[in-house]
Amino acid sequence: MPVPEALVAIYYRALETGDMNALRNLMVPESYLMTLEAFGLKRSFTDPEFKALLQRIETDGAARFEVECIIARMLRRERKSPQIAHLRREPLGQDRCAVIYTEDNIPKKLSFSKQGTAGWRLDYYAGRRRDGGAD
Amino acid sequence: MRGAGATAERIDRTVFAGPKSPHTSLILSKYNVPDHYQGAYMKSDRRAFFGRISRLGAAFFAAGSVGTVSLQASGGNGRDDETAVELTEAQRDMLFYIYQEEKVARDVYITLGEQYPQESTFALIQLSEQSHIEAVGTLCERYGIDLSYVDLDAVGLFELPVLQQLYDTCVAQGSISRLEGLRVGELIELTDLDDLESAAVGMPEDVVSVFESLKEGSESHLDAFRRAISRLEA
Repeated sequence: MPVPEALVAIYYRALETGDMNALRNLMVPESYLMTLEAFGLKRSFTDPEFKALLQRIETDGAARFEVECIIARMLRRERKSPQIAHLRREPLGQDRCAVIYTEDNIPKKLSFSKQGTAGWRLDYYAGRRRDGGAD
Repeated sequence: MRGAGATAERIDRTVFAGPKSPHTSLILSKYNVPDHYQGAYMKSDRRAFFGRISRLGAAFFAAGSVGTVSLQASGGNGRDDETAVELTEAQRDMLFYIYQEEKVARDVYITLGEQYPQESTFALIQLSEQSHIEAVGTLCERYGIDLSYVDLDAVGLFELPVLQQLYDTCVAQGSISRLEGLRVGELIELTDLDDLESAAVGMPEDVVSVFESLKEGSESHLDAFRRAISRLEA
């Protein structure tokens, strides 16, 4: 199973190529939905139909699929490939960690939580040091 | 450790009454906020010290208030073990994320305020957003959430890429025109209201109480953005 540092590389590669399957598989579901919302926001300013779809991604699989397709096209068109460097892992407790790195020389951080046998998953809510372990 | 009932008994006490933060002072001076606006900010702070601040009316807002937030429940400036109930780890995670998310709104308003200096709505509301951050920050401290590695000084920079994406998108859209900037503000406040509503579910009473204050602030901001939009469209 990929280690968090490898997942950072997969995350950026997925964003660059618009690979939504890869993006979905490396995140916990809640973070994936948040990612769709963040990357869909731009289009939702100008496209009311898309905005309506985006508002339903949590409950409507067909809406989510359509949003994924549109965002994938958008990401492929933009094809951003920032330079990722200086990766280092920071433990945040027994079941979570952060990877600190630079994106085009700007400090960034992605947090991960361990999801049982599925291994590490990107988890935006896991950025806090948790000393006491899981709930 | 006492439960939420005990918290409710002391709900009239507030703790968010400290001096203006360096960030607030910086904003006040940077944007030459008129004295009477600063007075409104300080007045709200003092009111928070004595009791729960109620939602500020439109007339008061028009006079310059920015809807600062009171943080309620446990007494004193630090953690009060008599009244603070335990949060689950997931709830702590949520609070920590909200703390970082509040910075997005503040930073968007700072940036758009610099782009549209003639539009005072941004300058006024960013002060209030700073108080939102501080209110959530105080909650985080009460519940032992370490905030030391969140840099509030770096305006427009976010370590978490998803928050950077949100900020960049809002600023890009808001930069199209002053009207679009105001519409971005309207959207941020609507989103904030929705997020706070969801985040409050299952939280202890003192956290819910702070979120209610934040929502009142957001409603006030929403009114202000909508008035500014109407003014500009007219």
